[in-house]
Amino acid sequence: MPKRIDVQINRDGTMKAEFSGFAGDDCIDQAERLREVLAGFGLLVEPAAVERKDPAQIAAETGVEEEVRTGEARPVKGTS
Amino acid sequence: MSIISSYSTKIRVAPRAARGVGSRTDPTWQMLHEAVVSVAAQLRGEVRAEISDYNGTTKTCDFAIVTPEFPRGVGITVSPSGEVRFMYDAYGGYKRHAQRICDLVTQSYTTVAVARALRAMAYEVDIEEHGQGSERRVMVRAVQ
Repeated sequence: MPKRIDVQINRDGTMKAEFSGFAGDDCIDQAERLREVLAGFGLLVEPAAVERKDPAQIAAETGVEEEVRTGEARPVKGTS
Repeated sequence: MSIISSYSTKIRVAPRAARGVGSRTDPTWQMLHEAVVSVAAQLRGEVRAEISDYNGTTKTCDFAIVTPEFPRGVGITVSPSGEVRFMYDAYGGYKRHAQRICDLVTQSYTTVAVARALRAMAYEVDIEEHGQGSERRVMVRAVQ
């Protein structure tokens, strides 16, 4: 599965980047690396929003289903 | 995991003192020049070094784009700290033309920077353009 980064650049210079085909948190690392390299090319970018793809989208891209973590609260020992 | 990120952007080239000349020109200045030349060609205009105002007074800039639709021109200057600024006199109903030139330079520089950055990260890069006018957007597609 190839790794893909598709960047849409709007008329006002704002951009939207879609990272596909990355395992685990690799896409977060690539997004940060891209920011660093862009700064070296004279373009300072600030994240305005980050949206995680849902498990179905990820499975379609990578063929691997990621573990879905629920937000259920669990009691912690020593607390009331 | 995969993500979709949205970013705001700001162009900041090397400070003017580090600009250099000829083959030693700083890469960010080369990219800015490349963006300016590209936009001028796209609008059938010219790259010059000065703009004029309503009264015909001229002002020298680092770069200027003069087009048939906006003959006074849009000036592009780089502050001592590297911040890119646009200047123009839009008096008389030229605001839309001037803003279009500013937007195209910003979009063009961003496109050049993103393509170069992704190539530096060992991706194969392809650039596509979609839409017209205010809907114009560029897609930079990178594969590794």
